Amino acid sequence: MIVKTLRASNFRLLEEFSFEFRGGLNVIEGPNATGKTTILEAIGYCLRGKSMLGSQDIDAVSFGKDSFYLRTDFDQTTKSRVEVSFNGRKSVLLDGKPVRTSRALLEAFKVVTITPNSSLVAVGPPSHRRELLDDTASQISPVWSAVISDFRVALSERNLALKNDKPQKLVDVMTLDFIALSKKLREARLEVARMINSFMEKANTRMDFSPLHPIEIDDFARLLPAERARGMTLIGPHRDDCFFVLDGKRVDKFASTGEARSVMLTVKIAQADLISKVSGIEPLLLADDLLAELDRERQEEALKLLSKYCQSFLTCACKTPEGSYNLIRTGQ
Amino acid sequence: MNYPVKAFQELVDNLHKLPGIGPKTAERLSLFILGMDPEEARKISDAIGKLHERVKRCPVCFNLSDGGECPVCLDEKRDHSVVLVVEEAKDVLAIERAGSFSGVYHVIGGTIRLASGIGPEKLNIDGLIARVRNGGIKEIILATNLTHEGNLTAMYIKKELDGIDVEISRIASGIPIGTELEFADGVTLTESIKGRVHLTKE
Ligand SMILES: [Zn+2]
Repeated sequence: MIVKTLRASNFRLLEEFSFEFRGGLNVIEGPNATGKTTILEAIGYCLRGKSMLGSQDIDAVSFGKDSFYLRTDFDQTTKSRVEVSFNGRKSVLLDGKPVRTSRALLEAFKVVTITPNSSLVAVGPPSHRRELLDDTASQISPVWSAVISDFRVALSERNLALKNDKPQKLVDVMTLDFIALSKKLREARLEVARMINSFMEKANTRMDFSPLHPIEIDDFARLLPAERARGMTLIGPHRDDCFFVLDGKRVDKFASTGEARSVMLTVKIAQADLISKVSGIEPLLLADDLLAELDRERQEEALKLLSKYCQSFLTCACKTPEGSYNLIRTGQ
Repeated sequence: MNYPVKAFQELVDNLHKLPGIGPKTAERLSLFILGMDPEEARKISDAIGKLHERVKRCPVCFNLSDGGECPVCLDEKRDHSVVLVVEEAKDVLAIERAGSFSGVYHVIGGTIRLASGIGPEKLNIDGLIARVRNGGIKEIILATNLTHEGNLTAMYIKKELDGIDVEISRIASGIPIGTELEFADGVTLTESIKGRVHLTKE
């Protein structure tokens, strides 16, 4: 899958723009605040139908405007075009047909993103690593993707029931639903952790994910007063711990900044390779400002790594080292 | 888009609220209506304007009716001891179109979704329980959509029916998991009702 063109109106910093891209590495170079990240975000918006930064649709509209429009054209024969428009109401079209759920996009398009915050996957709280597992699972199996979205709804609905003192009958039904989905979600995460580890052996890196004993109905019976008092679900996969181990050391406890960055890169590349192998679709790599803070030698390594993929994008505020890539300049 | 004529602007904006109608289509429809015979245009506006006051809910099953009980509840040839529980009146339409179900319905009016302010008390579940308690019902077929919310709502109704002597079943997933009834074809709907799974009592 290759993004050939991106067109957009009134999307964040860029009011009217149109770009052509090539296969392999595309480097987007320019000073800060010239819309480099916006281009990556626009591509991500088309692949997922929403902001990959988790922001609201309305916030993506350029200042002083009331709507935005995005369109990407792909080279592949199965799916060739995505359009996203927003004018108070959002519409996502895949080859001209409305997309009702994000599932169709997840099945058609695979993507791995690297942002300046990505090191948190190595050294941040476990939520970042659970998110990595869930994102990977969603991209490799439609069944898992359904489990993950159902689990999130089940958790927030159960929390609402506890917070708003809903009748016990309703909480009981939600508890059974939550237990069933928790079991499926943990199975999915365990399987994804096992698979991703097989891609990281060479780098002496692995994810350690071993959820505590299975949650049972009795646990909830015991916890009910505390859950009612605090208005939230106190046990479950949303609290599972997981961490990376590099050369036998826990990364989140002992890694230096440099080690954290290199573990993050190992993990993202493993994620991309895993998605590619299992789904048969090579993911697009979106790397925002990856070269900052790397020395020359490691910058060149990173460029080589990104060039391996069918298509990748890299933003760069500094002068990018020599290499074979398609250079796009912003802010001129 | 902004139009210089206020009345035209209002029509475009209102049509744009309908599903599947973008700003361009809304403009085209508005121009078309403007070109119509005024009497014909008024018929459309009357049909829309009076819809809410003229369409009533059946007091027994909450299906759409002209006032009083709906045609299904009034039909003596149907089996009133089998009640199919659905989310919306549109599901009744889809199943009636398939034409193979001979029992009666109960429309609960949605699914449990606390995030949208819909708890079980907002749905016509109490009405269903009262109907079953009144007797004469042998089987309740839970035919809420085979989605996560539909399943949860079915589980909740089953729990509310605990201790009442009635057979409870859930439609089979001949319909792909995650699909809504209104999008299933007639044959699939028929098979899904025929292949329903009887739920054991707790
Ligand atoms: Zn009726």
